[in-house]
Amino acid sequence: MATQRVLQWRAFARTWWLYDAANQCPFVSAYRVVPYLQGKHKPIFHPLSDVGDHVVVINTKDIAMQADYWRTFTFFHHTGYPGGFSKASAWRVHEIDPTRVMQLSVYSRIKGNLLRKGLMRRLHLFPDDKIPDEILENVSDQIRQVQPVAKRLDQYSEEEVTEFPKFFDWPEDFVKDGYKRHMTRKKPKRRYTV
Amino acid sequence: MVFLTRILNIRARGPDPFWKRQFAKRLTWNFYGRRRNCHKLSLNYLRRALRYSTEYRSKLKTINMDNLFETRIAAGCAEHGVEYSPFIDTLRENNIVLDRKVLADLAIYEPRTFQSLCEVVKRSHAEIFNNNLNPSRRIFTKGML
Repeated sequence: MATQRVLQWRAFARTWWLYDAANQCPFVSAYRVVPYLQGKHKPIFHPLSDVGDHVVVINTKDIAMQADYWRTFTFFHHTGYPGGFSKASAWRVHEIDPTRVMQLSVYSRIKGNLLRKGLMRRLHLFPDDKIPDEILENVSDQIRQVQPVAKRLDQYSEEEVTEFPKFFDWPEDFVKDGYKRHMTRKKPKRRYTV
Repeated sequence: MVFLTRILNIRARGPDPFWKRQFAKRLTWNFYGRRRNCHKLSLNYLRRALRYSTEYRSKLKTINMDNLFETRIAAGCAEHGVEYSPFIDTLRENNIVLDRKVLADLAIYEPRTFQSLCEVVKRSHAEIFNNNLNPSRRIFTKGML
């Protein structure tokens, strides 16, 4: 029957999802994104049938890490040859490639089997919101963000800042920020490959 | 009765024992270490492996199918904004006796039926929420008991 055939096409068609990673934790975002790649958000899911969707992740350069993870969280790599070990902290990896942290967190979230490379190929990462038209025209829906985006102080208007209720004013001779943090950026010993 | 020949006393030895070992090897080729190649060592492990495979043939199938049903029902629930475990619990509380297999089938082939089930769950939750809004229902004092 023609209608049944069309129904099957519609059921198994790959849909494209948009995920805005601005101010989102990459590790928690990976938990949200991976089921869409695997097709676990569909009732027709079966591990042997290939029903996963495409996910387009934008604004990966604006991802947010909790605590001081930018400094302390380390990514490791080994080429397999002697002396092939290299590591880099998250800020360094993010500096080299703004999509890399998101990619690695999604990659490590997926179970290590033969499907992983195929699933990763359906993940499209973009550092900002500029997407090629041939990708944007496929996108039909968006994935809910994992955490609310907080407003920065400079995004409030001056009226809102001045009218915000406060208990007291600081005296004029009070030194609010006397301690200056020393930022020393050491160059990594070995260059982080891949 | 006298046997004039000793032909009947000869033992029938059968085929070469090599083939018997080959038969065992077909089942132990994927074992670890010497138990893969040494026939005498592999016999005990082979017995155990066969026992496990018989024992878990039914169990693993049910475990895998249960996991699959749960994934499918959770996917169906997520389309209507309900979570899996509250969904299952609330259906049971409302005496809607459908097992996971049937629920998974409904999620695939009868999405409208599944949607109405989700609606039942949502209304049940809303009812509980409204009942608990009144603090007199939650607070018990000495005089009430």
